[in-house]
Amino acid sequence: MNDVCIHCGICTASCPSGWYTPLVTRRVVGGEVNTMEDVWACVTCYQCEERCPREIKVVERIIEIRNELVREGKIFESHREAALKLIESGRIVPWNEKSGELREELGLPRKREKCAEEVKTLLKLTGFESLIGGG
Amino acid sequence: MKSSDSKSHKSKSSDLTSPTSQSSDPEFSLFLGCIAPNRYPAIESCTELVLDKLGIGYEVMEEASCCPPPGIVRSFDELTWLTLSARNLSLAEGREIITICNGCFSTLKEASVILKNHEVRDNINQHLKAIGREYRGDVEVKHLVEILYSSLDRIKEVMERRLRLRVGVHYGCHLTRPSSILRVDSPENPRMLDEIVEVVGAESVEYDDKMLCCGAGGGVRSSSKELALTFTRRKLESLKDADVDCVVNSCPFCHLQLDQGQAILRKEGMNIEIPVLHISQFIALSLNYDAGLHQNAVPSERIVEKLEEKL
Ligand code: SF4
Ligand code: SF4
Repeated sequence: MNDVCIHCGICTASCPSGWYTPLVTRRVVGGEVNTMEDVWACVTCYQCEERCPREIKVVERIIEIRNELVREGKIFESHREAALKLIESGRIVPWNEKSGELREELGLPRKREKCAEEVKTLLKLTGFESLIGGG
Repeated sequence: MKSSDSKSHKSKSSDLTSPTSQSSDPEFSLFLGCIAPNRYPAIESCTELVLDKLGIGYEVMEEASCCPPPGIVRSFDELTWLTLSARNLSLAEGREIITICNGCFSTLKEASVILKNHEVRDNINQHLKAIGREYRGDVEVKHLVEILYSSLDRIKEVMERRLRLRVGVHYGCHLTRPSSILRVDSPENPRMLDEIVEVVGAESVEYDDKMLCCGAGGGVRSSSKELALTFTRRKLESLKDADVDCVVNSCPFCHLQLDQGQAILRKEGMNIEIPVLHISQFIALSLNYDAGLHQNAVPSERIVEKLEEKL
């Protein structure tokens, strides 16, 4: 592995988000841009990383920048809401009454999830709760 | 139009409650994730039916939490992502995990690789101690697609009808990528899903943008619905151009985006109606089971009608 970028632009050319948004993957990897709009336009499809001739962990870099932005308190409201669901229920897509109905209709148990308390404890320990501002 | 709902077909969903659906000394732990059980439970019931039929022993991981997703939660905080993944892995100690979702698969598999490192694992175990758990690092993670692919002969033996359909397969991103870690199939030209649908009599149709993301990944579905739908529209248009009868996927999140996204696009005037089936549902159909297609947002039961017309 050689992680020095040679600015070939193969990542940018491979990036489907770049077709529709201002995201220029090469510039993110090079540390030239780190705005919310840029780094959160990535769908984490890994096309860039698969094709990078220098085997640069492109998505890892994007995720690192996202982590930094969250630590600076920069987070989209819809993402904060998703994170709060994780804190409340241990799930990003939680069970609801409608899930119960659909499950019963198929002969499945109405609900079988037992994780919320343990997840809550862990999210306190990792600092996630204070990071997101959930408590 | 003839109504062809689930009730008009042999329904074996009562098998779910039979004691055989979870064997006493199972080889596998079944990790269901969030979206299948809570939004598309037919994927859960079909997975169980198919595993039972193939004679694969498993136990549902009822204590599991959100995987958590590689795009969204990992993007907030890497440590949290790894800690919750480690907890999930610890619940299956000594067994192999079967996942039915690309997101769950890539998260748990990548975490299992990272946690092979002692130092990292010791650090994470400090947190797990607080809930009385420990991860010892010996869990392997598989995707249902890999299990089905290694059971092609068995599928041929037990299938009850050929699904003479034109299928567009949608791999999604995280079944094969990042390939350096997942090591499942070619990241650019995978064949597994194609071969599975072909074994039950379908034709896997090539189409433009076959390897394109559904649009939902990386937190984009929740932060930028329009961008996500732009991907979905492109994907659906290509599928329509290829004149497929349905699209078969390996990921409940892609499933949700292709099905619910299509319902939104239809309301916006897009003239398209492509039934969306998870691979577990597709195999369930070949076993003559009710695949729960009436729970999709896009009318999908006509696929069953089509099958009968082609008999
Ligand atoms: S493909 Fe790799 S080497 Fe080329 S510009 Fe992108 S990150 Fe740099
Ligand atoms: S992973 Fe992100 S940056 Fe890389 S090609 Fe996909 S959308 Fe673009």
